[in-house]
Amino acid sequence: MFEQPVRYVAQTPSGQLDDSTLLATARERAAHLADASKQLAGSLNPDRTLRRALHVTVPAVADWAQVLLPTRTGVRFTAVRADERDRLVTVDGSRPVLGEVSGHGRILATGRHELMHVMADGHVPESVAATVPAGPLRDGVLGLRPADLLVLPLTARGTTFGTLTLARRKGRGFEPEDIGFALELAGRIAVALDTARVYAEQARVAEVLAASLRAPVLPDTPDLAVAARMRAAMHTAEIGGDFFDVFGEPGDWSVLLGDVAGKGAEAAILTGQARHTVRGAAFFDRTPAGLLSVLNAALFAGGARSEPATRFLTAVCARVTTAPDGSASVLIASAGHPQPLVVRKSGLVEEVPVKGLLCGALPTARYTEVRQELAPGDMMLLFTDGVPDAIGSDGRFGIGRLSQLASGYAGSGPHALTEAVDIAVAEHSGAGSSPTDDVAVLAFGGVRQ
Amino acid sequence: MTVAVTDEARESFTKALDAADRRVAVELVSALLDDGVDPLDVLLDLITPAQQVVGELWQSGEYTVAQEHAATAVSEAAVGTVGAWIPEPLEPLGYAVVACAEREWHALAARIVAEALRHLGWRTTYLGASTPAQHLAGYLHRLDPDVVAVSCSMPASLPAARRIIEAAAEAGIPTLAGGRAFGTGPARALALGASGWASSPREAADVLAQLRPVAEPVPALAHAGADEQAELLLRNRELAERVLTSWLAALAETGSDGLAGLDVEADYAVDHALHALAAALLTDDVTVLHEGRDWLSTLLAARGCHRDAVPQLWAVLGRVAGSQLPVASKLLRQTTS
Repeated sequence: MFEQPVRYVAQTPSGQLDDSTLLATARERAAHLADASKQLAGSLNPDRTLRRALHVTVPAVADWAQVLLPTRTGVRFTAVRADERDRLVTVDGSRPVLGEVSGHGRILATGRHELMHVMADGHVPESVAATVPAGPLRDGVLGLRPADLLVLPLTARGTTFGTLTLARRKGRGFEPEDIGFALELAGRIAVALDTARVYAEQARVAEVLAASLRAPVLPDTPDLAVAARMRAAMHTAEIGGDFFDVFGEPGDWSVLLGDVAGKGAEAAILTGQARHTVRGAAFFDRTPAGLLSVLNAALFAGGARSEPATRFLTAVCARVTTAPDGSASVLIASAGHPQPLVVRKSGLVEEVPVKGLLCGALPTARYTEVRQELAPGDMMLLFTDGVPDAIGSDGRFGIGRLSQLASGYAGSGPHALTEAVDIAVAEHSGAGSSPTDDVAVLAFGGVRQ
Repeated sequence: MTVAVTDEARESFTKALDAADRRVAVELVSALLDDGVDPLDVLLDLITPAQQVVGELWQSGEYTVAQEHAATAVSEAAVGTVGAWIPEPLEPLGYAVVACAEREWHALAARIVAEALRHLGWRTTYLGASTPAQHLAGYLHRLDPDVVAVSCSMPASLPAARRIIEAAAEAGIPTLAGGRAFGTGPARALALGASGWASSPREAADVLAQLRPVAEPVPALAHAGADEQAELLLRNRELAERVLTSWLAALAETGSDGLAGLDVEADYAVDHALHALAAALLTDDVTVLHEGRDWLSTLLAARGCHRDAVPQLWAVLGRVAGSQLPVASKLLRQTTS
């Protein structure tokens, strides 16, 4: 191994140096730093950034490199060798004693680099032993001996949180300008690693919170075919102001779909409250009007109406009684929500004439129920205003377009119908543009037993 | 131990798709798995070919779009059943995120890839249909997979697939490309900067094992066709309208049956042709346009369109789009014969 001649990036040639050589070296250095910075900034994931840090270091500036980073319980050493660039070796260790005379504790305390040497006879000086843990990592360095080691601090935003150790083979040691270059590179690596760490911490908190607010997995409803699709304006977190829920028992299901005023995290929190309120209320009274009344009243409960703008929502609530022949009877109430459509098997599409005041407007609002029969093969389509209000180059998507589309999917089942609506709305909004509003669509129909 | 998928099972599954009967399809798949049929065989020798037939039935005009979607939804449910049957690998070979490019709505193939890879020992996350590059980037920061597998069935989504490749490479993550739009060899995938290409989910596992763990950012596409593709994208709407008007006018002159069968498909045909042209420009590969033309010819012939419909469309494209775009013009001439 290591037989092939190596020239490090921007390695200063020996002998008398003329201006053009110096200029070329400086250019090469700047180019490598620019490329390394781009690569290091590309990911916000700590593990990926660590891998890239080693990728831009070996073999460009060293034959072997090791990064030490703190973990929750200790430290982790990750190293790579120039002859096995794709194989990272990882060893966990205990946290170094801060301020120890040699080793990482020294670097972490002082924030200053250190140069050391491994002799050809295999004698390992104490300083090296303290820097590279015994085992596969130290074997990797000893394979290079005699070698020069340069330990660099990883310092970002005022804290030295780790170290980068570089090793070069005999005769290829670190000249003062090499050390300056390595310090520059280590600085960029440190900032990238720290940024990724901060992002990951924030993202983990956001992810845990978002997970609890995401659309629920639909229950197994053998007598009722149900499909739902949701597209959040804030797509990456997959949370938004639209919500739906399906619960109940075979033969008697409750379906809820709604839309909270506002978007993003604030709206999503209210959707979570809305779903839980309805689920709780359903233990006592599962009539659609009753559930919407509780939902409305809950928005007025407590004095903490600190952000009134986000305390409104519209919803439809349906109670679906299925029969073995595949028909279903639907009792439905609406709180200021766009009227659902019934898609008959024949292709006829009808609006369900159900109306009511939006939740959060009036504490005493009452809701009326409408009954709608679904013959076998008929479907009911619930949607939020993100569907008709989707803006494209030829205007709003509109109820007309939705009805026409739904008619074409008559008899093809809720899954095909909701998928078609989802696609049509996204296509209407155009490529490259995230939906401006959250979009939710849910369809159901009886299944013959 | 190995039990093959029988012709009888294939026939029953096709019937279930035709009747859009989820329950029959799911029960059939469950029974096969219980009988010891390999999940991979169920995915690739039962569901995949049946779904190919569904696509052909739509292309030949025997299925409406709604019927195609209904059948596909049944296949989705069947794939879900297979997926639930495959255990999570305890010591995964690696972690793959499987994505469809933006506006790629044919998500079933990607889902099959995700489940097949899982069966072959990979941990996978399937992102569903149409993932814009920006959203993918967000997932990648969080998930940090070893590879992003991008699936592309229509030439229209190849430009968006390129965006996915860029986003992944910028994050240092290698990409594996697959799907019909990438053709029958690695050329298109590599032209777009992908780290690898696979012709099938089975092959995908082998290719994944060969990929290097850290990808470098992909250089910008510099060939002349890439510039013209950008121009085409920018003027897509205007060009589509002009091509459509001229095409219909030209066909109307060919005789009373010139416009036969075009009532619903004309917009679609123009859109498809422009996208195929754009994809050919982007990948610097004329075969994309050949395939687009063949595909459109079959589609329009099945709908009783005039035999000059496609040749006329190409002539109009050459006049309208080709007049200012020399590479596009050349590609159009090469596919006129």
